[in-house]
Amino acid sequence: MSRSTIQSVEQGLAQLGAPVQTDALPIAQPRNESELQAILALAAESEWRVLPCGLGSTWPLVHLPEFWDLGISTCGLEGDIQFDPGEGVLTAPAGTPWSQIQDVVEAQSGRIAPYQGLQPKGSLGGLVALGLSGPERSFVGALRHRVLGLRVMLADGSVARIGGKLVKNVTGFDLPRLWTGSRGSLGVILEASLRVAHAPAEQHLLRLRACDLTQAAHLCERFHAERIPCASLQWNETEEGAVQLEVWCIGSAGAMQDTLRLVRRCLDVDEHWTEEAAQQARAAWAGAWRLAPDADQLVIGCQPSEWPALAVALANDLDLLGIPYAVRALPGCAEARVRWPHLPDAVTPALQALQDGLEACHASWQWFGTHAMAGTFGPAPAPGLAWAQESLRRQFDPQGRFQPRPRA
Amino acid sequence: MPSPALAQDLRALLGPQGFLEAHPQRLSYESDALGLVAQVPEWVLLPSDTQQAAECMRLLAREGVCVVPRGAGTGLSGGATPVAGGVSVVTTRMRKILDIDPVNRLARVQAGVVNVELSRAAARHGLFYAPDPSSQMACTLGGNVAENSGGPHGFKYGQTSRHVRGLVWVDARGEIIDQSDARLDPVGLDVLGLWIGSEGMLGLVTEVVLDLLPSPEVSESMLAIFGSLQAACEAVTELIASGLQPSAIEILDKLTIDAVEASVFAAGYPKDAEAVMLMDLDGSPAEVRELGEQLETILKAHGSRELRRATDPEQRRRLWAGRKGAYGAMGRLAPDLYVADVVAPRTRLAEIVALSTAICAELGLPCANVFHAGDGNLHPNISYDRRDADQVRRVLLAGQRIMAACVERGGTLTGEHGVGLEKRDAMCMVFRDEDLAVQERVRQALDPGRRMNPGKMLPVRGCREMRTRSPYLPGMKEYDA
Ligand SMILES: Cc1cc2nc3c(=O)[nH]c(=O)nc-3n(C[C@H](O)[C@H](O)[C@H](O)COP(=O)(O)OP(=O)(O)OC[C@H]3O[C@@H](n4cnc5c(N)ncnc54)[C@H](O)[C@@H]3O)c2cc1C
Ligand SMILES: Cc1cc2nc3c(=O)[nH]c(=O)nc-3n(C[C@H](O)[C@H](O)[C@H](O)COP(=O)(O)OP(=O)(O)OC[C@H]3O[C@@H](n4cnc5c(N)ncnc54)[C@H](O)[C@@H]3O)c2cc1C
Repeated sequence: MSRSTIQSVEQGLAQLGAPVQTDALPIAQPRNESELQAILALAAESEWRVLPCGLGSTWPLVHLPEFWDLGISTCGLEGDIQFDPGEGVLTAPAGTPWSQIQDVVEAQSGRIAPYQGLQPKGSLGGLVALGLSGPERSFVGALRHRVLGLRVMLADGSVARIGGKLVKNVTGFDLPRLWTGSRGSLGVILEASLRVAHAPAEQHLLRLRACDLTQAAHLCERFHAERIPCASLQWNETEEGAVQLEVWCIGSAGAMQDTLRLVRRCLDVDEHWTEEAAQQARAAWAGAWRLAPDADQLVIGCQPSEWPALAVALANDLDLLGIPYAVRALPGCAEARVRWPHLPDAVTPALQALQDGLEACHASWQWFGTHAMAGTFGPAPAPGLAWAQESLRRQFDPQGRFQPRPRA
Repeated sequence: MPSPALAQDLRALLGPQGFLEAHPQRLSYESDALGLVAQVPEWVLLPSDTQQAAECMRLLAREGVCVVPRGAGTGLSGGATPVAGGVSVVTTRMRKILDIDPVNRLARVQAGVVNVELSRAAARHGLFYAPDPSSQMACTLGGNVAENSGGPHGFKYGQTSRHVRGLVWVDARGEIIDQSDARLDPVGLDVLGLWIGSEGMLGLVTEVVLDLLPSPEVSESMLAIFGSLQAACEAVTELIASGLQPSAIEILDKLTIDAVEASVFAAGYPKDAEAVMLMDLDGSPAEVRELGEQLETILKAHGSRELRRATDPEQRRRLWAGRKGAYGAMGRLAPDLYVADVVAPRTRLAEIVALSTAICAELGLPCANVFHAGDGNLHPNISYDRRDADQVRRVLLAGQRIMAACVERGGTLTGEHGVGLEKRDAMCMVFRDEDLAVQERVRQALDPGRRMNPGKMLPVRGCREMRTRSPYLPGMKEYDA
């Protein structure tokens, strides 16, 4: 296969509906694993930097051609979706669109938690490679606790199976954990097996129309302290500029009866959805994206005891940055997310102030989106950890095939 | 053999309490609870904190000495047995609970803290530590991390890896890698996730940060009595498919019931039952009530002839006494116990339990089943006498055949006890050479000198060669099939 053959595959990308820019990266879309191996061999020969990818839903966030010579999408690789509700395990090719997986699972009373609100455009492999979790994580655990096994291809074209398809398994090193969230830096994910949760009997979405960030943080703290098992608390700036708070609860009818009683003790709810709660929650999530369709996302982890301080830091510093933002918090697992329409190329004084604020409340944070920001804005890795990460990366990708080109 | 100069340095560092040289002192570290393979370590080192552990590791690295980490030695796969020589570095002097933070629900402990001690300390704050291996009275949290241990309540709450928020570990060079900042998600590659379940092959863990959970408002135990083991397994399959979530689902078969009821652990299980299913239900009052009703419907539909429910702590403790004491009770049947640890697809539980029993029967061995049914994690337990070489041969053969039967039906070798020495060569039943080569890369990255727990988990020969050999336990003489 020649370089020109690969470039011609850009048309394939256009058919996927992925964003093709004039300066877009050439994307190869192999139809089977032998083609993928051939492309990797060519990439090795040509010393290209390669970005494994799925449907490209994150591309608007990444200055692709600056970092990579070639993208390889898994979306053309064939295979079936296998889902056995009795086993609670789903296995599918990495390039399978997430929406298809959701349809198969939900048709059989499954719930492909914890990723509700996922951009419908993403692929299974992209989801695993990013390792992000959604609001249901306080109930069913983070995504990385639900990836049971993978088939992967390394830079040299070898294919390996890691983990398995069983809900309990300690046979060998837990390599699926290493690959989940590896963002394409170790190799290409070909297939993934995930543990699927059962659909909850009931869902409720409660909305409080007016609520400021500090008030919301105190509510979060109270929910945590009083052990109220809600799935997520989310506060968004609406299109009209007001801040609203949403509480989303899932569980059995019995559990909901008790949970709702507790929630109502903490807040006077303006709106309450039951049947359509899932759709409403998705719409709310999408609403947060609407603010900033091509935006970066700052994912902040912070201990519950620091939430009020975090709220102050965010309110002050985000206002200082002068950008609209959306914040979502998961009181069950101490996570806050901030999303803003901002692609900072450098650490500005306002951003530095935010960084200081985050450090003051012992938060950890990472950018989801711009490779450019990785390493320039974020907490320093733990002592020795950087060595361990780099040693592992080198073992899997000794030539640096899957690593972005360092910025000039 | 390490040099006298090294011995002198280690003695000076650790003192007489922390450096065991005399043979009788070292003897009790020759094996773990698998017992079939033994090898006395060259020395036994007992550091008391991270700094001391790191200094030990640096000194050992100086002479390239192999290191076998060890907690309480309750492992059932030979993981802590120094089969390839070297020294044992034991964590039992690192027993401090360093901090319990009730607001953020986190505990920071030294690796040698015994599992149940953390549960007790957490209970004072209305919290609990979820992973509860049946060995929790003795096993260490460091050992739990190294094996990614589970327990009855893993069905709802998950295994150890789901609860570890941070680690401090020392690598083979003696460098401290401090990942104790309790991050919710990893930044960059998830080294912590990889570390859990690494069976002492990547380093020595010295401190662990763990999530604690709020104690449930209401807890109830339920015992379902069955006239057939098959029916009990089928009930489990259905209640999983229905999405019901008790916190534990354990099954004990007839042989186990007999052993338990004849022992000090007697729990009042009916002696004429073929199987009992023990469940815990927890949550809010309405949630537990509703779950109880739903469970009753399914259990009765599958022929459970009697249901006993207990909310009173003493009654609950009694119902669980039989499960918790099951291994002890089996000591009545024979001096030694071989505990298999296979995982079956949850839709094939009944079939694989029946197969395991048949495999043992064919080899003239008793097979008592007590298992974490909700996760498909089976423990066919074979009582035997290790002084009888022929019994040992048949036990090992049965273990191999059970693993093979399980793998053929989509299962795997181990759900919680780890591969260790015992299942090392059986890895070839599950993985190809190409798959194992990827696992080898992990070791190469973090311990290129291969000094950490050598001879464990990864087969030392290629699978193609292994498949032509007869089953045996590495370190023992080879037996004919
Ligand atoms: C700003 C933003 C925030 C989001 N937040 C969340 C969230 O909080 N929770 C959530 O669940 N979802 C979230 N999503 C949606 C979703 O996780 C991703 O967009 C989607 O899963 C990515 O799939 P993709 O196929 O489009 O991947 P791509 O955009 O093609 O690739 C994404 C990343 O994954 C790697 N990758 C993709 N496929 C493979 C593969 N087969 N092998 C190896 N590496 C691969 C790429 O190298 C790249 O680093 C978010 C999306 C965006 C744009
Ligand atoms: C009666 C009985 C019941 C059991 N029930 C269960 C059960 O329900 N669930 C379950 O999961 N297990 C069970 N086990 C197995 C065993 O108790 C667990 O594997 C336990 O986690 C081992 O802990 P330990 O401290 O005894 O470790 P050890 O046996 O000393 O070591 C086990 C392995 O961990 C490594 N290791 C130990 N400490 C460290 C450290 N600090 N750093 C790095 N590596 C280390 C060792 O090298 C070895 O490979 C049971 C065992 C018995 C005897």
